[in-house]
Amino acid sequence: MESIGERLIWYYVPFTDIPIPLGGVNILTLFNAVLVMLVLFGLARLAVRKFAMVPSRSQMAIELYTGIFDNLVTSSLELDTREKNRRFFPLIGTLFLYLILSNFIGFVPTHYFEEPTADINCTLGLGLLGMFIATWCAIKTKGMGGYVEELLGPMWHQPEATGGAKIAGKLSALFFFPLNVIGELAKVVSISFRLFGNIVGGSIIIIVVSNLVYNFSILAVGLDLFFIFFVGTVQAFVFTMLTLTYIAVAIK
Amino acid sequence: MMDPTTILTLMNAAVAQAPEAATSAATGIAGADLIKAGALIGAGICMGFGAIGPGIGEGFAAGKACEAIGRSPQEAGLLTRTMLIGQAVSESTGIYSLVIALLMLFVIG
Amino acid sequence: MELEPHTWLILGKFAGAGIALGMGGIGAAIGMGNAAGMANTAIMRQPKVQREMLRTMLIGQAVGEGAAVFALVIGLFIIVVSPANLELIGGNYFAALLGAGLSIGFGTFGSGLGCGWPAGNACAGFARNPARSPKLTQSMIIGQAVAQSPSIFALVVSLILILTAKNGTDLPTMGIYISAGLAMGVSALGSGIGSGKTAGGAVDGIGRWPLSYGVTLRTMLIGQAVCETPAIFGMLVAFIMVIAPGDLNPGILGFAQVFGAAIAVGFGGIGPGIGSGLTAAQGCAATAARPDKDALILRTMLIGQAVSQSTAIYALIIALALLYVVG
Repeated sequence: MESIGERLIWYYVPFTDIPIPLGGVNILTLFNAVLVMLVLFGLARLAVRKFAMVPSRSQMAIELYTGIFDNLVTSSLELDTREKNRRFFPLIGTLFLYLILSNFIGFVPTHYFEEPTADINCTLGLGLLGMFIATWCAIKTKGMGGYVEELLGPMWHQPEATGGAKIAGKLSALFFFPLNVIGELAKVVSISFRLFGNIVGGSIIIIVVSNLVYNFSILAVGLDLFFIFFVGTVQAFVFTMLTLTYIAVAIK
Repeated sequence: MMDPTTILTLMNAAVAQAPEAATSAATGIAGADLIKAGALIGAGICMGFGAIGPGIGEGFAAGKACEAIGRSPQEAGLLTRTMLIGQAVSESTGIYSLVIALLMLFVIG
Repeated sequence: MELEPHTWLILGKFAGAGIALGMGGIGAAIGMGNAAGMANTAIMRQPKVQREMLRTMLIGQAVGEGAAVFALVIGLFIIVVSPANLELIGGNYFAALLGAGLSIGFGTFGSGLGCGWPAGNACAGFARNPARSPKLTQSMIIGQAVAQSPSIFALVVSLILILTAKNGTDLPTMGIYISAGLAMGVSALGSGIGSGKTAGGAVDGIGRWPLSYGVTLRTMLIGQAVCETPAIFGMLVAFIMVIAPGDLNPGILGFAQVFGAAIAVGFGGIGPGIGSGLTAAQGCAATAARPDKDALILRTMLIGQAVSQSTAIYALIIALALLYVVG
């Protein structure tokens, strides 16, 4: 119970006295994130080894996964051709795989393995990445002027209004602009904190329950399975879907 | 919520009594501390209760939008836009609560 | 206030157990009564299948009562708990027991109330399609189980408060314990009601259009996961208050800091939780009606839920500012 809230941070490069800039590095998170990346590379290498017309079991699994996400991405985005929509498929597919593996790595029992998403830096970074991509796509599709005009509210652009209605429309931008800017920032905070809170909350619950039921430990294992596999999958999917939704809204 | 004049009157009265109360700091609660404590709890109450209304209202609007899109999916763009406009307007009282809470946190005391 | 340790202990036990059992029973009672009412209306429509309908209603009510059972367990635990060294405890222990009671009491209120809608809608769907009952019962149980996870969070926070209470009496620490309980409990209230409403809408949709079972279930799980965000924020604030509160001001200022943070994030989670639940309920019903347009409806639902939770983000910001920024 005392270990709740402890973080393993390296403040100095090991065996030397050089301080790490920006206040130290969260070495457990980095180690596990790099581990997840290596596992994904290995899986990708194995996956593209041989393709047959009659698929084997593993090829069927890969085709199932690719088919589901391709369908999801191309039906959610609304660019003119299906090929253009498919350009976002690598991002969304990789994001989901990375998050799922990050959440599942908590099941390994040693204290060297901890979910990288249990660190707020990881989830906040992924959230900022998704938001940055969405903003970049919006600026590329609508131009900088169009993007700012959309932030100014729905009543700004009134080509056929005259006189008082036009002035009221322009003045409403004073009200809508801060609202929209705060809304964009709130999107980043909400998706990152949701993922972080679910994963960290699950691990704290496991610690507390294990502390109480030290004899009847099948309950702790069962709860562990539920939190890591079920909640981890659902939260990874929600994060991915929300990123896809924000990109879809941005390029519409 | 009380109107600003009542709040200002109470603050002036409390500040006027603060010098005498501050001398009993060792055993009692100082008046200036009480003002700041009241402002902090007030900021919490303000944002807390102020988030109830917009939350329920915006959720209701989004629910009706989902139902309407289920009925006529070809109007999805117009329906989504209307939903976002309605939600932005009903967010305004939430922003008022946020502003007042931030004022109470950082301006009083 | 100088009281004997034994007085603080008894005060804590009465206050904590009272609130736990009192508040915890209300939600489940209202929810299960709601379910029974909807079941009666359904039996009136199809008197021939009343035995199966009654069985579905009883299963739904039994699962939905789980929240009240959590409150009962914590209440009994508070009554029988005896701390290690009785001479050293003080006001902090009273505050910890009171906070535990607040957390589990308010937390199970929401889940109990919310779990009534899936049970009632399962019976109503039974009246429409008596042959499709296994899918209805399945989705009802899954929906109720997920809708009870805010009360599980509240249970864990209660246990942490009871088991790791410090000795002594000082106002900021008392404030921390009471506020942690309040933040977790009240924010789980809104999330529980919202998740329950989502499950109710999904079960209603499956009752009307039983063939879109898979897609509706997936939409329901996603909607419920997003609905639980205010409870996650409340749990986060409760944890950081108990584990790493930063340096609080001494005396009543520290008490006001944490109490204000708890009211902000706690009550600030009610509205967004209920609103997200309303959105997801309609989203699930629309997905059941038009499963071919599920991507479009899912997108609208997620946008609507995310916007309606922005006030919960504001409340979280105010709470974090109260804890860490206000000097």
